[in-house]
Amino acid sequence: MWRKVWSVVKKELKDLFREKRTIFMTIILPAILMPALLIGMFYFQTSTSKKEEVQAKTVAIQVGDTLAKHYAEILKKEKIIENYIEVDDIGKAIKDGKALTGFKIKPKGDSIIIETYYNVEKASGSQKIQAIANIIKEMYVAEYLQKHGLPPVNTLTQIKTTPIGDPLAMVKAMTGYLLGLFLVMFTTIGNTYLGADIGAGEKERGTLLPLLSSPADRKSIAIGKWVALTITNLISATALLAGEGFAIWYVIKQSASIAQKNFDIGMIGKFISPSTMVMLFLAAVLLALFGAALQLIISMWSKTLREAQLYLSQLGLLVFLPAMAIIPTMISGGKLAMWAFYIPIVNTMALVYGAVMGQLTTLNVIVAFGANILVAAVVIGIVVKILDMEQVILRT
Amino acid sequence: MIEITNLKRNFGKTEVLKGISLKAEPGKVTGLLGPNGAGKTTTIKILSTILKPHGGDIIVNGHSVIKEPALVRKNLGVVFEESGIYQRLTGEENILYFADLADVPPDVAKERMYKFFELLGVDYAKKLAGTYSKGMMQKINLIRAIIHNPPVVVLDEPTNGLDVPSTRAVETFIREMKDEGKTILLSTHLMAQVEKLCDYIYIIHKGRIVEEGTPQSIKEKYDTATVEDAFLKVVSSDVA
Repeated sequence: MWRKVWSVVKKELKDLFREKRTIFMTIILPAILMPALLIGMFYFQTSTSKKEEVQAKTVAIQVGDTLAKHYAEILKKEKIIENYIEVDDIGKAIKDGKALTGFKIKPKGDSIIIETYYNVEKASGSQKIQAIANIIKEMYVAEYLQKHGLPPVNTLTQIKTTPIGDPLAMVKAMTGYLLGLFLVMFTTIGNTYLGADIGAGEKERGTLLPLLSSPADRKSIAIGKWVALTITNLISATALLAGEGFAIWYVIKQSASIAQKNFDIGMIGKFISPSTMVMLFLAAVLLALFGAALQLIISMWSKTLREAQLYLSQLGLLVFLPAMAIIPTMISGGKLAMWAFYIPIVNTMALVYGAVMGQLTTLNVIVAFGANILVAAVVIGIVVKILDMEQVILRT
Repeated sequence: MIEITNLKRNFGKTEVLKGISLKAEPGKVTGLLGPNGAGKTTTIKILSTILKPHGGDIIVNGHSVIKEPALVRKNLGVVFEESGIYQRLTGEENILYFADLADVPPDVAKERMYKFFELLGVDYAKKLAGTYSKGMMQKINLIRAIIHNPPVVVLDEPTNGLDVPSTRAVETFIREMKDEGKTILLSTHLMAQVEKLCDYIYIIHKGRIVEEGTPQSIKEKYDTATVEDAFLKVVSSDVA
């Protein structure tokens, strides 16, 4: 039987990959998707933050506000801000994008009132003006204490900060989740065209009848087609992971160069280690097996290519529902429950997330593989049965 | 050898086959003639184990289509009217794929394939099948169906839509197979072809065998010069 299975696999792969669309959908698109998204987001974010940085460095003060001018000069001298502008209307200056923040200082007896302005539409405005206000406050207190012959404030209090936990935890959680989603996407619905072609395409082109009347048994045909689809799904997943690896490497390298540090390849290791990559690939295998079985049964059941493509694209919406199941865990940064490893699709998400977060146990992996192979075997069993159902194979 | 006994088949409430029986013997071309919708293609689909009968049975070289469909397929080569060639494979790849599925060793399959290429004048089989004309495809279809050297060959309208040289090449090929001792069941509506090729014919109409005999005996029985005329008389008398 296995020789026939292999013949079907070889034929299907040859047949599928001679179509230019297949190469684009299976290899090129998944390979460029993650780099395009990650690198695109990186450049968008850096260009936005650079623009904001320039705005942030310029602070608006009111014309004639001598106290504000006094502190602005000190801030400029200390290189806390790059420049300040004197304007009639601070609000208008911020709205017009001439400055991200601004402040006024009004004396009140021995004390001062610092009025701050920032653009709520920019994420960092509030923090920046708060920081500036704190510095002015400290400077004013220091000047006040000095004037009254008291020791400087920084000798009175000292703050020590100890960060607890993994500083990359949130980034890892987000990466794990996104990567899981893309894996689910490419190994279940990314190859919709191929999935549709392998069953419904055969019916539409009239090649199924000669195939089913050939001496090959139905089981060999069904398993061969399933393996071929699994391989194409896996090629997509590998391309996706390779693209992801490249994108992470590139973004870290660029981030390091922007921060004017020497790029250290070990930084990637902190993010995704080789063992994590192996686990990601295993998760891809797992999903590819299940996704191919799902694609095959839908494709075999459909009358035409178009019908199969329609069902398979609808399936895309459905697979995202179980994929959402681990969002609460991701948001809380918690540990995954065991049930997540029993359910196909959810268990792939769980494996990817767990691998990136370093939470996986051997039992998790065994349960996930067992569950998916079992479900895929049942689905393939059904495909073998439906290849014998004339009302299905002759639906035209 | 093909033995069809009291074969019945319905599609919904429509009785497409109402209990047909026929026999096709080795070394002979047996014709299955009938107007459109008579039940020829349904009979062939049951014979090739795609459809299941609702009554009766077909025995192919001693194997029942109901009880031993896998053994029936091993003994059978079917050429469907629609060629069903994989367009993104070459002609050779199409044929060798089916040889593989039938467990024919690659060297044996290639030797057989090249012999058939010579007989049918196929010199284009290294090109992708998507570039072939209908006649070119049908030749590949024919070779693909018999690459495993089955003792029984079923041909459903094998020359439909082919030009004269291609038709002639296929007809010569059918004769060669007959001379090799294969059992050949030929379903066609081309009466001239029937006269040229068939040793025995069955006329099927509205799901029943309404006439059978050698072409000569049928012509004599209906006192006609051609099988076509006899066929028309049979079919019209059955309508009446």
